Amino acid sequence: MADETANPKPTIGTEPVVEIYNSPESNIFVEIHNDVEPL
Amino acid sequence: MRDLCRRYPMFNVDLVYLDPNEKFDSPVAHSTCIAGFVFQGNTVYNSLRNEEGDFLTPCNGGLFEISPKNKLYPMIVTAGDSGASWLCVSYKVEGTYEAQHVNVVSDYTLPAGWGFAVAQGEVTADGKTATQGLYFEPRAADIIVSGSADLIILR
Repeated sequence: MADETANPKPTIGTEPVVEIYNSPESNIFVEIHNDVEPL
Repeated sequence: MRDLCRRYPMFNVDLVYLDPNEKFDSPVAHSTCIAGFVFQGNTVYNSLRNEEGDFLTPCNGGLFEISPKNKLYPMIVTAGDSGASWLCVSYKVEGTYEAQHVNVVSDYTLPAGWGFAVAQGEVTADGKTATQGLYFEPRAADIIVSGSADLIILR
């Protein structure tokens, strides 16, 4: 069985961060939190 | 340009930040945008026009609503001298949506069937705390929203 604690999914707060687009040359940084539960 | 996007089941909620005089050029039309609220600085949307073809320039404290009257064309946004920050709500399921800006200063009664996204500030409702960029889904009955915040309410 894989040890999931060895490579935990990155989070910001309690939300999973699945996608990050970073283009320093065009000064664009996009951080996408997928499948966020509404309050 | 920094964009913090939260993808909810029904909506995407984006917090977008531009540096002073920064220009953001998107090659595609953001046709799914329902409304946005500028909470800092000002912008020149040389792609957002009303029925008469006039350009709209959302500024601090201003709601911009995308509708049959106000259409958003391929986006070219330029921030003002102090930059610009706004919250934008866009739909994932095609339909007819209605949005309004509400400034909560203490208590506000959210009507049944309306949800909200927080543009700035913090409120509590139904035992939950909603901070900037978060979406609160509609409830079946009216509820009290308490705190201090600018909200985009929508249904």
